Amino acid sequence: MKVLFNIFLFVFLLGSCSKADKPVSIFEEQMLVMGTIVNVTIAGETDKKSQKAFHDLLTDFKYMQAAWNPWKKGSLGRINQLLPMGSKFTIGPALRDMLIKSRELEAKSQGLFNPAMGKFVKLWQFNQDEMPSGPPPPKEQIEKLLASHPQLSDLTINGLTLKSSNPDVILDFGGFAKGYAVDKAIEHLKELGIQNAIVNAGGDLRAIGNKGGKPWVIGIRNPRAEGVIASLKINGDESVFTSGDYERFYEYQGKRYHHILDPRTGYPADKSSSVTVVHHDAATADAAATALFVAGPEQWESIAQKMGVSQVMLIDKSGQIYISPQLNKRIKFLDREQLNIKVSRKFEQ
Amino acid sequence: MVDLSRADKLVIIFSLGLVISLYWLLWRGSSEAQEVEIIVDGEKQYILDLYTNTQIQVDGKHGRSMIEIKDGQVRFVSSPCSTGFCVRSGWQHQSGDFVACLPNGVSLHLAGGVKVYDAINF
Repeated sequence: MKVLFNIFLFVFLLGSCSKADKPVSIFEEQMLVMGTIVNVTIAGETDKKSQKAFHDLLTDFKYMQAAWNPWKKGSLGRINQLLPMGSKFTIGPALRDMLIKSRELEAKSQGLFNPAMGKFVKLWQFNQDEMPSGPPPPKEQIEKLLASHPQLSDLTINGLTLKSSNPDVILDFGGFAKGYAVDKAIEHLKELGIQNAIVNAGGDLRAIGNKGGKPWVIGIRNPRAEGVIASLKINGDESVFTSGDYERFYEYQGKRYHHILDPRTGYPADKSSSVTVVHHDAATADAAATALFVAGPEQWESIAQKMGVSQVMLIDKSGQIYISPQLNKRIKFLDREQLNIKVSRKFEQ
Repeated sequence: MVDLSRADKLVIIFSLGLVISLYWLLWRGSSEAQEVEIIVDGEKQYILDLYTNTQIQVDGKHGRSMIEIKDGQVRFVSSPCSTGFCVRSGWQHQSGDFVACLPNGVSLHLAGGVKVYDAINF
């Protein structure tokens, strides 16, 4: 009998095992806004509360989509119509805050993140929903625009008034708006009392809290192949943003022309394949990912440090991976042995 | 001490083996998705089994997207967009994967199975 009892006890204990210490409810829903899919994940809340939060965020994102589109009627569209006139005009407080934050980031990035390049974006036709098919714009037009060197420091912000000293400044927050919007969404979730969530806007995300005590697990997609190249655990409040040449591009006569333009040349930046930045706030992570993509393998370390970001991974055109020691310590590559990884020595530990 | 016959012992060993195998199979979970949700203009239009091979045409904002399901995977075969991002994304099979043709307002969300990643960065 004792043998049988032990067997039943073993089977009972085996059956009572559970993978999770405490099951946590996960809410997940998507919305199509700002030209991308925004995925909202909320852990540990009632479905009713999560649904309400999701619908609040949907309203927020729709508002931001209308207000921040540089090419349509709306707050930013109006600013872009008035800027070339060179006279003083009023702006709303939300866009003023956005301008101030992005101007700080532009200065720290040594001008490699430049939201004043709207005329270049339009010249390359990356302002359209549909992808252009080429040819690229004439060299003379690019050089003419380049000579006027539009940048955010050409703007004078005084209270709620704005004035431009450069008629070629047109604002396009393409490398920043998504991050800024994700920060606003996370702020809103926190105000609603939600402490555990991910807001993922087309692959760029900010995660807060965790899922029932376990960290969030983020996969980083391989820029040149199917599937994931690495993963990262987040437990707290961090953003993961990637800029890549695979997002929006066209090919003309065998050459790829993508949407991340180098403010120094007026042409698509051609040294990087992708840059991933992990940082607390999403707006900084977004701007830094763009600036470091432009900076390329020679300059990424110095620009990252100037922008105050320490967790960076850059993959160049040949597939060589450059990574900061701070990110290398915590990232988990799926197949580290097969990858060519160079850990930077230039970062302060 | 109970005197167990050879048949009793065999039954006990078989039962234990069965319990352990079932535990492994049922509790381990799989990252492979079981079904795909096809979302058109924000509305879930179809939920399809990923192991029933088929091709389906879905009408979006700008025209018809062709979607193929084969052996537990799904992909966009064609879509009326100039970006081609959806078609280039290729086959998707992991639970939680998400791929979309934004211009046409058609997206695929893979569900079922156990998610390996809570979110994918790209």
